[in-house]
Amino acid sequence: MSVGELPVVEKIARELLRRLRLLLGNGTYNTKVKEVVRPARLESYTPMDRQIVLSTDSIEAVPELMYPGNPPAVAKRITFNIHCNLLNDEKCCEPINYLVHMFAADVEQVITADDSTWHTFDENAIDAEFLSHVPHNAAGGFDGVTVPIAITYRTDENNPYNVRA
Amino acid sequence: MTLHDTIKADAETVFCNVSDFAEVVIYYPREGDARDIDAVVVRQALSLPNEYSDSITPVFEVHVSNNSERGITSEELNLGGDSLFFAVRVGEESSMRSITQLLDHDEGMLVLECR
Repeated sequence: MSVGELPVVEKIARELLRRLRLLLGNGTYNTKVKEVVRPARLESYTPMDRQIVLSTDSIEAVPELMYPGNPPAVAKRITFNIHCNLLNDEKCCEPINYLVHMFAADVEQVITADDSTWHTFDENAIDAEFLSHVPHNAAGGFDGVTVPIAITYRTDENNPYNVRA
Repeated sequence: MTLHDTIKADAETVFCNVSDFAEVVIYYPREGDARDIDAVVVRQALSLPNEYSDSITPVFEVHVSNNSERGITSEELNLGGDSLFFAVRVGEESSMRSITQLLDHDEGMLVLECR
């Protein structure tokens, strides 16, 4: 019954990915992003400078936003982790936290570029908010920051492919 | 030839000998031309790059001699952009892997982490 369709959560993910890809080679932002990746299960990417890796953290039920009905509308909140990786030239003298601040700010700006309705992610969500940034330390060989974004959406209780307002 | 010179020479001729355990990989420096080098590639288990990551990547420990012809010199190495081109698994096609850390080095050898 669902072949060829995308669940609401995947539509949101693809819209988020589309917005992040607007940073690729875009001269209007301070950060010149080189790659945006949704990793596969194994061996999918190599860390590089100015790279964004988009992954999913958790999907939680939000009971207070559910609606009764036939079928009822269930509300969920998905948290995406936007990992902003930095492996800049080791001879570069710029403070790394300067680059981190610019990268995180550009990510937030490109996602919220459509001022009035950015949080709906192409009318698939009812709310969205950025959570606390998590800076990387360079122990793994590269630096950067993770920008989490929590997006709340509703679907039919019996059909996660159908969005509800 | 002193013992120091002998060991340093052995780094290229013995430890990074393609007739034994080394293989030819391509070194792509951040700036400059790529070149073939000899390296011992230790293919390790997949792991998280750091504690903030939630996707795993392959990890490699790569041993190269500290010279500018068939290895990488410690002064030319740049941990912000240098890459190596080799197969993730033996027999597979090669792919680009970033050099993420310099785990150890001396006058004769460099031990690199690639992901």
